Amino acid sequence: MDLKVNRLALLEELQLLQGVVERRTAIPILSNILLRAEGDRIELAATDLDVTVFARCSAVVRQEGRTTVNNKMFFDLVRSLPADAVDLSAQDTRLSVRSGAFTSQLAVLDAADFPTLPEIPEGQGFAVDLGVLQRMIDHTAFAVSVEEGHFQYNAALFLFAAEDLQMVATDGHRLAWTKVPCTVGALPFEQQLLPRKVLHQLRRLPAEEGSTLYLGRGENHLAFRLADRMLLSRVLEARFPQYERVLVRDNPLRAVVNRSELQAAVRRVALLASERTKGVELQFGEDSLALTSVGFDLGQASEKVVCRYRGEPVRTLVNAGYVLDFLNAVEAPEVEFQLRDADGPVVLSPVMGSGIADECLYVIMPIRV
Amino acid sequence: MRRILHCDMDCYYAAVHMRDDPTLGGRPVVVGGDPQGRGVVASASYEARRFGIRSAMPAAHALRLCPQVVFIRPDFSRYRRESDRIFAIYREYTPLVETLSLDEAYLDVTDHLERHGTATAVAREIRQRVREERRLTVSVGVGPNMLIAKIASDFRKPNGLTVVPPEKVQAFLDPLPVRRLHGVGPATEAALKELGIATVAELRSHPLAALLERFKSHGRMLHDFARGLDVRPVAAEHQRKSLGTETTYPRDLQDLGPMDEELGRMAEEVGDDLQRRQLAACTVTVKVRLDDFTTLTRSRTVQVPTQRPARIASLAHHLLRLTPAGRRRVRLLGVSASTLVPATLLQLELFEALGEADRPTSGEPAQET
Repeated sequence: MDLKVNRLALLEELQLLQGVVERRTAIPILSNILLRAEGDRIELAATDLDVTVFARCSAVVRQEGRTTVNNKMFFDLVRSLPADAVDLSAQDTRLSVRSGAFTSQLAVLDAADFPTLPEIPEGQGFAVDLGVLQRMIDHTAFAVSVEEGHFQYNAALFLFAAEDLQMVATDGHRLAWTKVPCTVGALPFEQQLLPRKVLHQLRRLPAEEGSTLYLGRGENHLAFRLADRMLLSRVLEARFPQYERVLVRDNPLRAVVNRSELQAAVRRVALLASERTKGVELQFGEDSLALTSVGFDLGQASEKVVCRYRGEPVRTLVNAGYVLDFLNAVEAPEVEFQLRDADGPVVLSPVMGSGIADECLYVIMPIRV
Repeated sequence: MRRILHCDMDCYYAAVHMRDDPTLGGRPVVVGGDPQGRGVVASASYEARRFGIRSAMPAAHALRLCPQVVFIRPDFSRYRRESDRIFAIYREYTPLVETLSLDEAYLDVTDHLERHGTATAVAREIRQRVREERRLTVSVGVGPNMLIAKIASDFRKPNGLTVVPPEKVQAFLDPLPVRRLHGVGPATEAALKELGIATVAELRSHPLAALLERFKSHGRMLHDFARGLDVRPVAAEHQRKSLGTETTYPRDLQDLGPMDEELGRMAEEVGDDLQRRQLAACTVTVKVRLDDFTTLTRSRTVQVPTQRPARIASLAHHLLRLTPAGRRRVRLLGVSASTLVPATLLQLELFEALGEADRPTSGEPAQET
């Protein structure tokens, strides 16, 4: 392998691989990325065996070939190289990297030992506007559980219907749901689980105006293609919880609050909430929402926020972190609380301006004393 | 000098069923897993023990030993309710009650003898009250520390009372096999045997230096225990740092299936224990001892403190897969909960009512870490 490539073009593609490669892995070659020089381009691939990313950029290939290098080392190196052009050439156990007056020799592992990469499903797939998909991820992905081994909570559910796309995520204590109108032709599948890593990976794809992402499904993998970039995710078998039944839409007590005022107030009050449960009591009275921290020996904080509320007084105790996650994720200037009583789920929804057809609903289970 | 009681219910789970169902009287009863599957005996009545049936034995083996045995699936919430009542009796005599499991507790009555005069009198009254009020029998050992009290309670089981006054401690211990000492399991027993030590008297005649050399810090404990010296304090509830359970199997477990089943059973026990003490765990640990006695532990800290058996089980199943279990035979499994916080604030579950929170998932095959 011997080639010349533009440093910034290479760097942009390398950036896309960073979320996939595991820092610490029992299989050393999984810390490496695959480089392949072919025709007039260099192809890059990274995998953790569940998620695989392919990227490529134009290059002047003097000799075709392939090798693998440590991802972090190579990325850090390319990021700091002095000149616009980079020369890469592989000999036996070394990859020589030259740029301007800089030269280096990187240790490589044999490309033949790199895991067999999944086949890319045939056909163009199903087109989704990348910006729309990223907005859906922003409104839900924060509710995906970060705890490993919590299988049915480690992914978001992506649903396709004739006239809309939906995405749902939950960690068992709160649930975020969104629906976006989208008229499409033939559906590739009704629903798929998207693991947290895939959601993050899709989120970091550069979304220029009107970029189209193509989705396809192979035998064992989902494929997402954006121009020359391809993300493959092993199809998950876990069963997503029966979310429809907890998606409460008819809570009668409704209060509308300014989002950024509430956000700031919850942040302040939560400073004095106990670290583990982050309990903050929400007390709705006539046109006011009182927040009070529950922190035991830490002390106590409270703050009142103006809201539009005409129902009977009601109070509930929730994890402040869960409330903040939602307030941070939505853009609407106002949000609406929908409650039934102290023990039932607390539902939050952004108050959408006219002309916005997106729907968002967020359900938080309260804390019981 | 301290006065410690060890109260140990006689074949507790089986006894609760036999008390509540008169048709079981005089019949061999086993509480445990499915004898058609890979269940394990959790408790066996004395009638069943006469056939050679023992705790932790595969249920299928028990069935072969005694085809007419009555198998009952465990009902932990029932045992827990019963334990609450029994432990409430204990607490009338001293606030220093350390519960080891649903059926075992240490009581430090040293400073609470005004009413009864002697620890023996307290032990007699407790045994009588449990018999009359709960219609169950408890064996009690009385000694100057936990080590002696525990050995004593087992001395005249079932339905026995054994008092070891301080001046009789050495005479009581000397003829016993070393295995009866706390902390001496099959491995230590075998190692001692190699040194020609079978009884406590023989262990006592072995110099400390030799024990330290062979058993490291464990040697100091063996040295002290052989002399009946034990300074461990009886820890009341608020001092508990962790709680858990573990089982050594008479025959090594080979497949992940039965291991998962065992972890599920232990998770249920630990969860029940947490609920009874009104505690929630931030950390769950799985302990695995392989066939070569290598002992590994794997832990995870959860974001929301839990006391739910299903959540503990799903974590335990995940943690088990971070060990070589399944590729290697396993002789001991354990589940414990630590970083315990008061469960006064309890985050409610979204899917609890649907009965599908943390449905055990088979998950991924074991991976080397």
